[in-house]
Amino acid sequence: MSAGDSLCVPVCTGFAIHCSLGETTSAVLSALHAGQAALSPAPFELPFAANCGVLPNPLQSTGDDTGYDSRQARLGMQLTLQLGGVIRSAIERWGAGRVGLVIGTSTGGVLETEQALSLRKSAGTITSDYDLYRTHSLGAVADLIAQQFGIAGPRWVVSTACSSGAKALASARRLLRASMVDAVVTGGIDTLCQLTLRGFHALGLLSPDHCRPFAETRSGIAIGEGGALMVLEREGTGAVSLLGVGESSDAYHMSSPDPEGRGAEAAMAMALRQADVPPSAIAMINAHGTGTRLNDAAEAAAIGRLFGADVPVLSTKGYMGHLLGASGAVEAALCVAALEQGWSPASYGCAPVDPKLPIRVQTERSTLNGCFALSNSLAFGGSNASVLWGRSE
Amino acid sequence: MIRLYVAGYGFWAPGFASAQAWLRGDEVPALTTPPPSLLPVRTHARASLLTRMSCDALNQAARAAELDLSDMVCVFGSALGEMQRLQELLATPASEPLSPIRFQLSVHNSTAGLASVALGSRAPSTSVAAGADTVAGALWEVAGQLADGGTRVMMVVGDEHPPQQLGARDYLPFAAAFAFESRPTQGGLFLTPPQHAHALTADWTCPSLRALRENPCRGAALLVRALATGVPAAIALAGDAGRALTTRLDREQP
Repeated sequence: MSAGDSLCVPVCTGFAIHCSLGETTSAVLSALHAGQAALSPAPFELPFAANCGVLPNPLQSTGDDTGYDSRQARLGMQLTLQLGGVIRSAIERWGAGRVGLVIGTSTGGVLETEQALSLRKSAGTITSDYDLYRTHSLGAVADLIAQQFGIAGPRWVVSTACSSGAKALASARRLLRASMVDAVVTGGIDTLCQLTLRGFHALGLLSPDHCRPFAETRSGIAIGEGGALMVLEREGTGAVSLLGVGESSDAYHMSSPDPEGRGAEAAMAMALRQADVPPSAIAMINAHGTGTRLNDAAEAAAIGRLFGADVPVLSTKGYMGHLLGASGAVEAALCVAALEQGWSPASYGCAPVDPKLPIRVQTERSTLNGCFALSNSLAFGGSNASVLWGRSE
Repeated sequence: MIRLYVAGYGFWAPGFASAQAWLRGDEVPALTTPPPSLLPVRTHARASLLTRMSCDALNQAARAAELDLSDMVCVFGSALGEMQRLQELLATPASEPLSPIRFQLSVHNSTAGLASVALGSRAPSTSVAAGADTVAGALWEVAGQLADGGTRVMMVVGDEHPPQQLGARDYLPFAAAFAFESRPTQGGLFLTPPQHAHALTADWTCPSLRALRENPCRGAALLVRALATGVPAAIALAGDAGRALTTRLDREQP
């Protein structure tokens, strides 16, 4: 028998969300409940128009003076303010060496690197508080959180573009099932920078106005910033458990999804198999739903084949934008909230729904009818992940 | 304790087309990039040095282990990832559009995506980073995969040149790949998951290692050297003084 047969089903003992909708989980959920979006013009001078999900308030300094004080690190620290009690309880219960840390990110400190290079161009030097490994590199945010809390177990960052946050949950689940740890602090954090806006614009994927996932007139994505952290434990107080994380590769193209969504379907099917849950039991799917014509059509094809047109499907990207490497974690956390509170938001901006999509898009906020929720993340490189949560009866 | 049985490994660095060439010090200065061993020629031509090195090392490890790559779970690790691509993009004036191809190849999982397309593999892959602990992070991920029911996992780690304009010290780029299995392989060599231990000092003065000393993935070079000798030993994955993550190379007793 492998350790994988030990039947550990990780419990979510706490989570925190921070995005353009609000800097606390309750503020974010209030906005979703009220059906309010928070997208605004990009906070950079760019030669094109773009709406973004910008954090509602300035972020406080981390207080670190050794190079870690990036915008991403500040957001990470602010998230730990919400979740600090749960993190400290887990460390106290299991011991610092038995608590792991796996964070998803795609941008790291690119914003500060843009600023450093700009300064170097104008002044010939970079600032003394910039450090390539501590300010820019993808692993830095995990280092800072681990230092702050004394987390001494396995620690790394997953960076698989827009599936990073969801795949961090897959890694965290494996660590727990393998008995390598007893608790994991996990999630995803990304902040805005010019590079991603210019890059998605170059690919022709940015919406010139509003982000409208699954709408007949959808015209592309809006980029946002934000993050979610959560604590998964071997056992603990929490109504919602992580039942499975399916993963697959498209093997199709670096930046376009397989039009038939076969990779996405494989990831969702794998999550269902891990959980031994039939498709008909799923109460909601928080889709990747970026609002591009290709993504939404491919994902809907995959969902339609596996679930038919009965399961409510929604995307939260119309509210806050596409949080890139953080989106999988934030959207998974929103599934936990939906299962805990018994409601799920409307798929913002979806009306009129594209009649060619073979799915049931949730046009209004709704009571959740069931105990299982799925969250999809589909990324560059054809990297797919599908996160399945279940609430105990 | 989970055992990561080693079925094969591969190595590529500028000047050194294999682990054996590197360990012997047989440098070929003209060898600045690997051949298109895994990617189609056009894709290879657009790929970064990191992707090219990683694909070559991966291909070597697969051949050594006689593995079919069309359905292989892969774990890629790099501290800085596609840093050269990123620099090219960041050097593009704000008034000019970015190259969409460069942008899509700047993501950390670029090698994973290109390899998956080239191999037609729908098997999951993941791409990790953890600064100087990147090799440890990748090994933990492999250990989790094998302990959770996986039977074979390929680990590919490496870093290309760091950007000196951002104040980083240069080093020799390299990539190394390791084919791991959950069951004993021929020879019975296995690694243990990384653990915090007393600091180990590697002999970085030896010629083969000196140029790699500042490479964040340097621990993988020590792994390659240890596997080549086959002598059981503790290996420092991140060699900072006073703080060490180590793995142990051991051999299954017959």
